[in-house]
Amino acid sequence: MRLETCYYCSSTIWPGHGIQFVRNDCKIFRFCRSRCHRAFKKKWNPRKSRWTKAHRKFTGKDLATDPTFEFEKRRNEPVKYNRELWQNTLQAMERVEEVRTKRERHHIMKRLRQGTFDRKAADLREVRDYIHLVRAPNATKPMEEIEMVQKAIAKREEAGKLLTKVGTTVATTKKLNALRRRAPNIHVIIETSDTEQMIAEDVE
Amino acid sequence: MNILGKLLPTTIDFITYRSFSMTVPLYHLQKVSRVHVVDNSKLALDGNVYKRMPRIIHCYKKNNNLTRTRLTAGLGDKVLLAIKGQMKKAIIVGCQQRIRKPNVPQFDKNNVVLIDDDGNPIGTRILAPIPAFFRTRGDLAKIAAIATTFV
Repeated sequence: MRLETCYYCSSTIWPGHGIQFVRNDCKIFRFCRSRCHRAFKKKWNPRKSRWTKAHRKFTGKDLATDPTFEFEKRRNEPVKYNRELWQNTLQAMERVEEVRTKRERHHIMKRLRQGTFDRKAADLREVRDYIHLVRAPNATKPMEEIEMVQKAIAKREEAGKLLTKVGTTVATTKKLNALRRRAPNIHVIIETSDTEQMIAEDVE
Repeated sequence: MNILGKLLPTTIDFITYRSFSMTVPLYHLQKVSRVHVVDNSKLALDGNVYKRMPRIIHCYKKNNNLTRTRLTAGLGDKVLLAIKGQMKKAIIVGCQQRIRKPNVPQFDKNNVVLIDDDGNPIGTRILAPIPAFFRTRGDLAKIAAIATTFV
């Protein structure tokens, strides 16, 4: 029994599965399922079908060239049976698989990690391009502006406290609540985030 | 239907009657099937380029049932071919039909190997791959002997 690989998608073909097609030039094509067989009959290039391993290797999404793949090449020379050789080979197979999967995963992570940097750069670009929706672009001294607003709020809070001490009426409490309701909007901006600091640095 | 047509010509005109039965296509090799000879005998080489492709004109297939044979042939069956104006026996060595047995592949063309009346192949080599079960069947051993590759 031998586990073959599908010509089209490169998955393993288990016994009892798939179709074998023999061309008159003695080339054998094995397919794991009818999807692959039909694609082959339609003369589709496996390198262009996005779900095949051939495509993934061709476009560099999966590890393509690596010394660990050399171990799996088919050798057409018969080897005399040797028990020690068998045992060593089995051990070697396990180790090679370990190394190979590690390298494949590393290759993919390396590829995907680039995405986090790209996304961060895109976010910064977005903030820079659309900051005018948040605050005036020509505001030259944002930190001073923020301090002014903070002072104004502090004043209002003090005024509110005084009012409560004396004895407030319903009308004044309503005004106070209205002021307090407006305050939170400004609070959020005061907590400078990374992007705001960067912009402040950028402007200064 | 003809009577109806005569009675009501105007209404029947646009109704088409199709009365043929649809059976599943069999893809066996049978009489008049065109075939590709994979020998290296002279007759095979000439026959493949002759004005008419080699064709099966009779299938020697024993049917154990009492019903009439359908005269179809598959892998490993003996047939009578018409090659280059002559009649020659041959054994089918590759089918385009998808045979649902394990480890039996389907081939590119319907391959055939010429044999004489005793069952000995005429050529000395077979150029196309042969299914592996030819090695185990006694009556096909002579063909397996001159084969180069097995599938």
